[in-house]
Amino acid sequence: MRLKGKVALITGASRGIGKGIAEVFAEEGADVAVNYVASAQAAEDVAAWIRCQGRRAMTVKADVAHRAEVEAMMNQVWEELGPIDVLVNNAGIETIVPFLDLTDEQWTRLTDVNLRGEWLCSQVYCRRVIVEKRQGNIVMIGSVQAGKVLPGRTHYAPTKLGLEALTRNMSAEMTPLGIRVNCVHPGLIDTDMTAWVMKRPDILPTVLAQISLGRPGQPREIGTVVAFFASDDSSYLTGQSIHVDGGWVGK
Amino acid sequence: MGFPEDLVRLDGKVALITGGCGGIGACVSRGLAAAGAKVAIADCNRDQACATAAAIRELGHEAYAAAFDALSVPETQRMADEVANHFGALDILVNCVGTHREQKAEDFSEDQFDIVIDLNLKGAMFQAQAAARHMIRQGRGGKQVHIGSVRMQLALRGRGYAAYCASKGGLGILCKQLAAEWAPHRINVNVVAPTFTRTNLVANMLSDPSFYDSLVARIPLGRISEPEDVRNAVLFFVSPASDFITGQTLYVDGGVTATQ
Repeated sequence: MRLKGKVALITGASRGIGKGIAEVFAEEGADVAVNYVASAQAAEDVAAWIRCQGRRAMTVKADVAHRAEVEAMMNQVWEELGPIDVLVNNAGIETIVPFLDLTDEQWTRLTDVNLRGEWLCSQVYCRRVIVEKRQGNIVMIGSVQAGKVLPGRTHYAPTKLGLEALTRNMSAEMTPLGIRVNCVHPGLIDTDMTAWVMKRPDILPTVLAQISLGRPGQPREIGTVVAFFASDDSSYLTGQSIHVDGGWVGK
Repeated sequence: MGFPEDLVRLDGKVALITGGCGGIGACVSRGLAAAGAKVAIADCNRDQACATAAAIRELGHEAYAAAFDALSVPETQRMADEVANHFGALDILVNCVGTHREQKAEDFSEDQFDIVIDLNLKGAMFQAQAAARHMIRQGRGGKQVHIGSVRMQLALRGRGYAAYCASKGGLGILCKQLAAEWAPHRINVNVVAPTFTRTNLVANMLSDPSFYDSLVARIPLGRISEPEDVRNAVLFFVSPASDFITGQTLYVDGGVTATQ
């Protein structure tokens, strides 16, 4: 149990990759706060599963793009579960819109959640960790699209490549203060966000043919990597981004 | 995917650690053995390989020593065959072989350049090949980790690092290509790239406090790498926890590459 006794806040953890991370974290011994924005019941189901593993769990609603909600979330978790040892910035949204059709509103909402949201959660978290003179750990969830072009992602891909720069720059400022920051870029992972790809016989074989391992990943295969970054096994790692994509990017 | 307690266990696996007597290699070998793997220590120095293996056996683990010259392709294959024959399988390769020659680029001699490239790059290719042949034949996948360096990504001002940087930079794309070619056989190939690591090789340099201070001044975590830091990353890459990662380089550098 590499995360025994640690408290983790995972944003967007009611489903998909966030849920996979939450499950692995609980199995590794962590108490988990499950953040959600819309799916209260799904979040409660994840929390209930975690309690069945003998760990503490709570659900907490917050839109990561709103400072007041993020601050309230952080306070609530701190009060109920205690000081947060690990923040996993997983919440994200993806839409597919051709560049020429993209509206101001679409750009703003997506970049607000995917880039500003991770920055915001990190800043609120780091301020509290530093005030309380604790150690901290942040794992960003990016995307294979930080290094891979897919159609209709002129708003999405920059947020994910931006997370790499955010990770490096935050690591430069925060590591000397005791907070490590790293980033995991998932490839095609089998979740409801990618279910549409899995159901498209005209697209799926083409995508899988680009992935060396020839299959999509499972949410827990992201969870085990995030758990490594969150654990003391990676105590000399900071500012790094790694693709967990079955061999997709860069070829 | 197993349960978490299985994610860090290597019971029943056979691991070959080349360069397994060096500061990093020996630490990796002990770590793999402690995680349950049967380990083969391969090194150019037979006596040291035997001593390292004996020390691991004393801890109650299975260990075998093999000597080989990493500059010889036939020798490399023969050594891998010997290890596979001894244990009846080969599941994991950790390549810790490496060397370094420092000369100014304008003065670099051909034979010195060749030594570095032959050992660090060509040697990696043919160790990977020798091990992969067994992994492919066995048909149950495998894991390979090659030890890289922050010099895969960062040049070094004011020093004669042309051969070393070229060899380690080449290693990165070599492993990416091997990962792409061998993924259908479920062989994952990744690189663990440390910064300055505390080993006997550099003990003299580290005993100079001004050298050490200047070294750590640019490392956000404020210390150099310990062999255990490298070992932990290797354990992650040879364990099921990283099954969906292949062709990647992980810098174990206290934040150096992120902030340079």
